[in-house]
Amino acid sequence: MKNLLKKVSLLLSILYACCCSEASGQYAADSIPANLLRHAHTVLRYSHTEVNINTPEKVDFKRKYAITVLDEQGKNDARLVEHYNDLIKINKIKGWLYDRNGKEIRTLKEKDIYDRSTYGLSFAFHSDSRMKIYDFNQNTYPYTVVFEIDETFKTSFFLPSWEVQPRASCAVESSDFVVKTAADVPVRFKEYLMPAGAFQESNDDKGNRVRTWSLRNIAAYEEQPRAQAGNYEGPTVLLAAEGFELEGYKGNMKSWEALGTFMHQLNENRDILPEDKKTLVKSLTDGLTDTIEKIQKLYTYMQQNTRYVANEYGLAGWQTFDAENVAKNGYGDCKGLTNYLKAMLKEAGINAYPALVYAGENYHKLDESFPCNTFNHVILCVPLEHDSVWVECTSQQLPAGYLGSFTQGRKVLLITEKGGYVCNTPSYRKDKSYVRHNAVLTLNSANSRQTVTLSNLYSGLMQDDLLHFLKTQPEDKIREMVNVKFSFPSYSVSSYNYGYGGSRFLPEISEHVEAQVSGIISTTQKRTFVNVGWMKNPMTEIFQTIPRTLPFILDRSFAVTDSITVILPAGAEVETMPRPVSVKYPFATYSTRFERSGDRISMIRTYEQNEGTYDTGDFEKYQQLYKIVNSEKENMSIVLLNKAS
Amino acid sequence: MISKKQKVTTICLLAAGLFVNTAVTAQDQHITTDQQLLRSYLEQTRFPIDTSAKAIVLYEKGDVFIRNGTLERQEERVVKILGSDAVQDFATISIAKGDYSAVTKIKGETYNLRDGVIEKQEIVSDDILKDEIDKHTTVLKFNLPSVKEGSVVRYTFTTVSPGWLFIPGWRFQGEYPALESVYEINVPSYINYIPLERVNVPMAKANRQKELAQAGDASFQETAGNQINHIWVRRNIPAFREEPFMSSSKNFVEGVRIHIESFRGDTYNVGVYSNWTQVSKKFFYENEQQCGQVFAANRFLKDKVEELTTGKKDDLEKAKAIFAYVRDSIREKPEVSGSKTSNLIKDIYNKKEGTGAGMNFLLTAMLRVAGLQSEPVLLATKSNEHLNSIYPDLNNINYIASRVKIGRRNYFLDASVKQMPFGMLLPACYNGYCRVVSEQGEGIYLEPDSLRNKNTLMLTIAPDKTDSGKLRLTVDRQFGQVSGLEHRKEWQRDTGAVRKAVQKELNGGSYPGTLSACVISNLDNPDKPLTLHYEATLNFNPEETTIYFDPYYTRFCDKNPFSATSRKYAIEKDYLEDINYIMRFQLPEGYEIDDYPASSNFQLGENKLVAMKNIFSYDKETRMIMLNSRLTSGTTLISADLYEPLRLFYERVMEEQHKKIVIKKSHI
Repeated sequence: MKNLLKKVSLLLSILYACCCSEASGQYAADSIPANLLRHAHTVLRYSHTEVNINTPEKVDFKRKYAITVLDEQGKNDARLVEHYNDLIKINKIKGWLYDRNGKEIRTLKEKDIYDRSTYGLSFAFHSDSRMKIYDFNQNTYPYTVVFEIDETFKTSFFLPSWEVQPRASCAVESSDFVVKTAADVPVRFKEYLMPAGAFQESNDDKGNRVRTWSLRNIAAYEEQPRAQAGNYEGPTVLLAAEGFELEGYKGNMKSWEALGTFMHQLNENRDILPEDKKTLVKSLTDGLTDTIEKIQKLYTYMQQNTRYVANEYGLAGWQTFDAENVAKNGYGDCKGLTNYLKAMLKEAGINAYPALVYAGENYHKLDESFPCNTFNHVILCVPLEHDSVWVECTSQQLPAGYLGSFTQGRKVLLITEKGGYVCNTPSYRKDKSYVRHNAVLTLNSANSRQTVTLSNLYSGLMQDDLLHFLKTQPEDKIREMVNVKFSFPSYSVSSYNYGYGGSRFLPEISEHVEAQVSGIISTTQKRTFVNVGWMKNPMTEIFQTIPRTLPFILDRSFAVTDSITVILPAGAEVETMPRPVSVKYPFATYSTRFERSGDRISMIRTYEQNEGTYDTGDFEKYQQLYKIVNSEKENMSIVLLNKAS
Repeated sequence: MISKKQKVTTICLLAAGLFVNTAVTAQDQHITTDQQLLRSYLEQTRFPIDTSAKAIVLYEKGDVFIRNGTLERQEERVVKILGSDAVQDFATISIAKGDYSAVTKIKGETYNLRDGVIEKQEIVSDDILKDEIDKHTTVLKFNLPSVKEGSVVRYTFTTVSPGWLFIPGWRFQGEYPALESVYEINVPSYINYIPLERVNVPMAKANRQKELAQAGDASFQETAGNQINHIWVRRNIPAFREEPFMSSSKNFVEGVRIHIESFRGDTYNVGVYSNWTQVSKKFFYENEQQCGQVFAANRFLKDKVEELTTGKKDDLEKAKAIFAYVRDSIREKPEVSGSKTSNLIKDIYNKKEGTGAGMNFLLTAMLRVAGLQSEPVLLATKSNEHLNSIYPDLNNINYIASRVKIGRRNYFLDASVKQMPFGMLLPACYNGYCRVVSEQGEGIYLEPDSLRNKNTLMLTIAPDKTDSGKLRLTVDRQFGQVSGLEHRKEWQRDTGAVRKAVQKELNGGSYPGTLSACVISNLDNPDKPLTLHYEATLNFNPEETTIYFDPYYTRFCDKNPFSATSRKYAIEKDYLEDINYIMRFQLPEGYEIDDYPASSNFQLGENKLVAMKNIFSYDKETRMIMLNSRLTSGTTLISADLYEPLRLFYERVMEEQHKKIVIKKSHI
């Protein structure tokens, strides 16, 4: 018996040693192929992700991955941050830490996982969202962490996606994605940037459909700015269940129409106003015949009497609070406020529809060919005979009919009683988004300080930030801003005022400023230089030191015109005026010209940018133009000869 | 989330006498129960105290009661909303509580005028949501209903926690102006405390409590039985606005801090935080988990210290060797949740990693083992309030450095920052009073004036010998201690960033060029100055008859750093500035100098608080035009009275840096 025990013990020891040596071989940092180390701070050694969609209300999501951290800059990739909520349950988290040789140093202890609510980390006031955080806090590089996470989704309304390469500086040695679906739970998928041969499909012995994607040896790379045309930088798979269940509500997303039907049903009959608000709507709109005026009146009322409070707790993340609730409390989230205005418009006899959108300037673009739930916001659309009025209900500053950069120029899903429709929000291109600066300088060469009057106009997207600032900040902050915003070398503002105007659905801000400016006149023994190049470079500095290999994307069209008039003292002798410049590229045009008429010299500078995707050669031209505009700005001086004393 | 049971009460207040006052506790009730006063506040759209304010705190009060080992703190605030962006600040209320504390008596009310009628809405218990932030912290939160421009809101709550050793402080001043801010403490008379008031007006001492009701700023104190009652009333407090170039707002915001000195009874008086000497000894010198460990024999360090110091010619060389060892061989490991990092020098020495404070303990211990006089230094960085030199305020201590005395000179050391040279601390550490921990302890001052950042930039432009259409630019930069520290932190992480920074400099200037060479030296050797050398080719058109040349390739500042037209608080900078710019331009063949700016020399104040010197010269023989420009500061603290002259000084700096040199073709 003793001998047997000894033999078993020896066998176990050998087995253990084998396992250890296998682990050592597996995670040793020096076994990483050399081509994966270039540009990398981390290497995803191994990643296995498995999604089992059993029923519309039960999805198992399992992951196991090993990531080797090569240096301090990769440290964040070794940190575990798992979000969960009432619909996503984390069943298990395991973790191991290995040294550079692949030798295990530590294991994760569940009691050391930091569990916290996301309150204070997101904009939501009320949410069921929480996170589990763990960091081995290893300081000796390289090292490897391995995590195993097991989760269950109580819905298939949203499903996990698979992005192979977490970031540019993370190389991938091996990564698999396995999706198993029961025969009666159809699931669609969409691949983005997926190389050929990565995908396989089969059925297992239980009749489940098994789809597998496998990728190996993806190198890290240096990011190139403004190069991402779509939603993803690397290979990605999105999943969408055809039929799903969300907290007892059944729906499907076979089509945008069907998804719209579900969202409509989920929020149906919640747009009933209390009696006092019905009376109020009547009193506000009585006597108005123009629909747009009615919309503006009710929108203004809502802006003045409600505020945004985000509620994402459970079903409240998708289902609006009813209009009565918002009317009573005076606050609501995007759904609640949108539904409230919809209810008021309905009371006024105007039909309006919520539109689901992915908001923000860097937004997830709706892929029409793949209906799925990728929205984070809702706005309101009021269809009219010739056009539609779009309303951002969470803003207390925007005028009705103007969306701003948050939701402009993108595809959205309109929710109607007949289902969902994909449509476009308005775009504000350079005919609508522009700045016109107009400055007059009456030169007093005896004084280093000059009085400059500015009359500027900001329109469309070019007024968004200014409008927000002016409408939300106290006067002393506005004064401070006016004393900083212009790029004069040194100045103090003696007076300023702002006006709000514009045409229907397109806001404008007029700005009138008088400033005492220094640093634009300089003298040598024989000359006086009047610098008229104080304007900011309207271009964004887009910078890279490595050769450009990817297309170059400008996502915004706009125009900036600067007109500067210098009134010279009588008898001033002009030695030189700056030379005109005119540059035209597909992505932008830039020109400066100077005119003299008597004692007046006028400078007009224009820059117009065209949004679009441009080739790599245009990127070099963009950089050149940026340099030209900068050096022009520095050298743009009218040179006067000093009179002999 | 929103309770359907929420109570909405409309009170018709046309006849003031109809209203029944049910308030019992707080003094503010005169605002929300005096209908005429409430109506006047609801109707008022501008307040003389600040006509552009987005909200006015009409009344606020903090009440502290310490009894039976329990600390009870009530807070109450009544606010008039004048701008929509202030709504969020007063309509959503979150109250955090820890493991052993409770939040009770939460009330919230909103008052609005609707068709001339005062409408009151209040929260009910279902509106109060609980969010378990983590294992030890819970937040109670609620939204006041129907808050909008014009509303008056009132909320109050009480927190209860165990406590008899601590009395919280109170801020009279905040982001919004306040008409009346009251703080009241009721504490047992065994607590011997000192109220440290920071107010910008004289505070009268009232003889009787009812005198406080009269207008003015005053405090009142009385002892009744075993309880002390102390009240402060501060009225018409302007909003606090942070200004650029100032230390922590905590040094300026009006308020009162309660410093507990001792606990006394009939026959005893036990000092707790009576003075620094006592506190330093008790909590730091004698604490063997803390500073105390550096004063032990620490024999385990002997061999290493000997190895490091053998052959070093003097104490300074020994200290430098030990400092370099700790800085370069031990890694700082900040604590994160779920992972403890040791503060003990033995662990740190063995594991080669530890907290920043622990690394400086190890440094101090090793210096002492080497026979040098070295002690830990406790300090508050600039994100915190200055340490009080009289009353020990332990909560403000947030950094531990080291001091070594060699000969008659003190060197301050911080080995926890990899890029730190010997004899320097982070600029944020030069924050006034700090404490050296030793048996007796010592109070010293670390002033920003003792830190000088001396940067030099030498630039040469000369014709390209092989191409008449080009000029060659050569730039040599030597970074000062502070700039070197900042650049090393950035550039060590990403060596490509150096080239990017240089290219950016070339892109941004008046003569854009193409970079041809770039060498950085001493990037990983903080004990030597960080230097950068680069060369670039500039385009040049030899057909031009007149060239207006900008002698400032880079400017000391692009814009006047003092943009505001007025200043309330003194200007505080982190270190003394010393920038030296030397430019040499060899004229291309066929060109002559035609015109250049006159040299200049100007300063602020007789003591050269800031000074600039620009010397232009032309050497005909070498055909070289030269500029030597230097900007220096003689102090880091300039009073607000000198703000306008300082602004004008920088205005002049900007003017000087926009001057041009004119060269012309010689045959013209």
